[in-house]
Amino acid sequence: MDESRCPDDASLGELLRSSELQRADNSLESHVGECRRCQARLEELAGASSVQAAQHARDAFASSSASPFLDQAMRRLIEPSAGMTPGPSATVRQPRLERYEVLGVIGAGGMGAVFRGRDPRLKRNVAIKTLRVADDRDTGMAERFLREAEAIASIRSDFVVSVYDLGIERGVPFLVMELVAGGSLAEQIERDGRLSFPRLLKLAAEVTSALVAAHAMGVIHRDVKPRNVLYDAEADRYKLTDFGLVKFQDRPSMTATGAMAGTPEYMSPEQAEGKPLDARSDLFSLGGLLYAACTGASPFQAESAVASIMRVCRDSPRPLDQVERPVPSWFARLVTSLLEKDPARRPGSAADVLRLLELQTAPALSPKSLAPRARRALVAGTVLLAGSSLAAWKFWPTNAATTATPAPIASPTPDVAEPGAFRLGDGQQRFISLKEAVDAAATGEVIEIHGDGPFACLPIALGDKSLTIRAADGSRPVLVFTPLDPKDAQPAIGGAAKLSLAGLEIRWMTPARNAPTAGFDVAVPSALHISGELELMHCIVTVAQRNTCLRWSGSRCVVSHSRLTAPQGVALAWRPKAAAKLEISDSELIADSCLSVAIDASQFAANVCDVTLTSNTFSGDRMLRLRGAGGPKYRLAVAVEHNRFDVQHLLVMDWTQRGPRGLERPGGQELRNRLPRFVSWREKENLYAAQGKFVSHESLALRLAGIEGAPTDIATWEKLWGNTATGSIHGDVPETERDRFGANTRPCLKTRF
Amino acid sequence: MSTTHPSLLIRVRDARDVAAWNEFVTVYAPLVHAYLRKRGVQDADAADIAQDVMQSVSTYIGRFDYDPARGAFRGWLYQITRNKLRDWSDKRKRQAIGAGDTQALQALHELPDAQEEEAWNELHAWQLFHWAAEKAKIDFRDQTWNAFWRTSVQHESAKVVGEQLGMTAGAVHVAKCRVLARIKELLADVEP
Repeated sequence: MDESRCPDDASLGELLRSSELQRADNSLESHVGECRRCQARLEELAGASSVQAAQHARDAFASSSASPFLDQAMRRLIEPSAGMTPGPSATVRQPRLERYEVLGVIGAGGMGAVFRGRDPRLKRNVAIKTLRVADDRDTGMAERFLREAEAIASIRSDFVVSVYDLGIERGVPFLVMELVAGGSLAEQIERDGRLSFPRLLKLAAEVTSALVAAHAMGVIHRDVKPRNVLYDAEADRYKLTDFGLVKFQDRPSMTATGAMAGTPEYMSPEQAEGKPLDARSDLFSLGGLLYAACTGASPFQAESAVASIMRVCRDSPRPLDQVERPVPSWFARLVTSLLEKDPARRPGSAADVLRLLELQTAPALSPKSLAPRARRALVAGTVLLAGSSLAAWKFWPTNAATTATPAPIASPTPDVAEPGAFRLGDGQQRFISLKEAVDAAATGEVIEIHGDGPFACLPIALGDKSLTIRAADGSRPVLVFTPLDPKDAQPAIGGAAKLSLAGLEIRWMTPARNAPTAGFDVAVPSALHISGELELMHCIVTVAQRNTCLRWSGSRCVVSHSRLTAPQGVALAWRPKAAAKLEISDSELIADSCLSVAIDASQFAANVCDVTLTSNTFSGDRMLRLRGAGGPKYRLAVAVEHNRFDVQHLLVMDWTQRGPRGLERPGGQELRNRLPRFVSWREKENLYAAQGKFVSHESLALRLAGIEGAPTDIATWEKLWGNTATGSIHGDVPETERDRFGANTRPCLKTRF
Repeated sequence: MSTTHPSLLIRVRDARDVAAWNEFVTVYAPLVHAYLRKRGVQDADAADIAQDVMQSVSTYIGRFDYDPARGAFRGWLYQITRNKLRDWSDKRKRQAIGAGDTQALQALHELPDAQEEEAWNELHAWQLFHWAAEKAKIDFRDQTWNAFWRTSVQHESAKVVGEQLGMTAGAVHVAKCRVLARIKELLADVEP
């Protein structure tokens, strides 16, 4: 290339700046086309270098481009009027709470005030509720309020007034909420007297849905009453508001005569008596609300607050099918059961109530697809309640066909699963509840579940029946088990023979417990309690706080590609009998104690139990907790390979023995002499948490102080068991190495089980 | 850098300058969203968090110390995004534990700090480039802009592109550089 013909910078610069319409200088252009030097120079002048660096990141940008959610979010952020138009709001000062303009007052109550406001950023009208903090010295109150408000804001339901934002201005906490135009239910009742039955059903379904959503997020409303149900005229919906904030109300001010301010007509008896509450308290209030919507007045109306409370605790209101304008018996029975003084006699959960409402109001479920019993009942139009006595509430679900409605997941319009999601044999027999399918199945049969659910299930007792329950191809069913009676210790699935589960997600919705447990207490409900053989493949089992996932005392248990989550509880509680085999592979156990093993020496001959753990991830406080008393003469042969132990204490001894000074906790001596005789530990390439201890004792003092002579690193750990060169690591490993250890496969959507 | 025309970052501090704010959202919201997606957050949640971040920025931009040092704003926005992400993630973990929700307990993909920030910077560079490239479209004929995009971003050869677009190789080079020059101008206006 003849460099003398290269244009100077000025000419190149001209090229860059020339307008599109000008005819480019052809010779210059073709020169640039051929001349690398000029190309480079041209790029330099364009400032390309700094810009080109950006292109390396292109791959990193993945598929963020086409996101409808992002578009929606951006639309909300962008203000429509482009161009700089300082509107009146810029110059006029509105009273403000953070960025919100306060425009007017909607109401004022014991708790604070509600204002009509505006969010100038998002250009929408809002309701702002301020909380009058009772005590200036109670600085924690505002914080607690905000935390509670966060929980409330997380409730997602079309029937809950949305919380958009919350904040504190000069010590006064406030909530920014959806502004619902249409007044409250209380106003509607005052105006119209009572609701028509169809509207009453709509109200019932919508408020119950709201409670389902709230309870799912762990929020108890505590103040369900007509004044707290708003009617959204635009959407024709009832919306529940003012969740859980009753706690932050001023302490009920006592008037001179000792009467309480405000009327607690909708309070539950346990609330009135100051007893601890659970979600069922809301159900009582719901009953009162429906009663009021039906008759125009609360069932416990009285002249004074004290009189109301007494009525709440003592009176049985007249059933709704015996009042002036009666409603169908089934609805009357529902309300009566909601108004039971004893929470245990009320429906177990808001989800149960919703289920019943849906069952009663659901349009034609094709009768052909239902199991015979349910079909007859539905066609006959009879209420699927056994008997009319209140005792029926405890038993109704077992006699009724339960539709597959999502519970307690928040969903205003429940997905009705294809009728007959639970199929037996070649799909010839179809059932709409798991319980029916199980009852109909013979031992050894396979139940296939079609659809993702979630399916609300009742506890299943298999007895001696062996069963396989698996997900159908392409389905990933979620089974939400709720106990009939929360005080009941029945497991979600219990059996003495063989149970095989594949591809299921099981959630066991029992109440959270407060007391810690080793997992063996029969009063602690476990999700699965099997005394025979158990197989769990590609399953997820989740239990509530301090409960147990699996309780097993049989001969064989295989867990693969599964996840067991027991927050502050036990993942697998095992009482071995004869020569049992436990295999866990490619799974994740997240619990306070992953494996809690109780060895009852009197039951246990000198057999060996094999435990094989391969490629699992254990997370929590303790990995293997060994319980036993006296002198064990048994062995646990443990083979571990490629696991990841993200636990504080790997092996926890939980026994005492008779020593010279009576019952003693084992120390270093026990560790060296006894432990290796009753557990044999062979391992290869495991990863132990950096701060974790290898051997501890259950007693807190020893757990903190440590056992004298306990292994502190891989070398001494290997020595304890007589292993060498296991390849295990105690501490952190680089990111690249991590994949070698632990469960890599999440429970996945397998096609065939 | 023009001293008469303040950059976007300065203009955005004026609450009345709606145009500046809108432009700002167009530039940075997708960046935050992309980063969150990369960190394993689901689309809808990422959009929510991104909206949060933008609102936070709008509230606090007044307090952002405008230091002409390069990368200052980028770093500041990164901190806000990270904080919002952490708050959201903590809240979900709390909720998950309370509600026994297994899927939510899955830890979000954690990268070591240095890698995270690097990821952010890369995304930032690309998003700004991409935004400017899109904006530059108005100033050029389709043919010109396509020539630029195909050579500069898709790394096709000038000769091939020229043949397909009916331009000489030289014209393709010139087109590419003209668009790049414009992009550089646009970027200077955003984050000098």
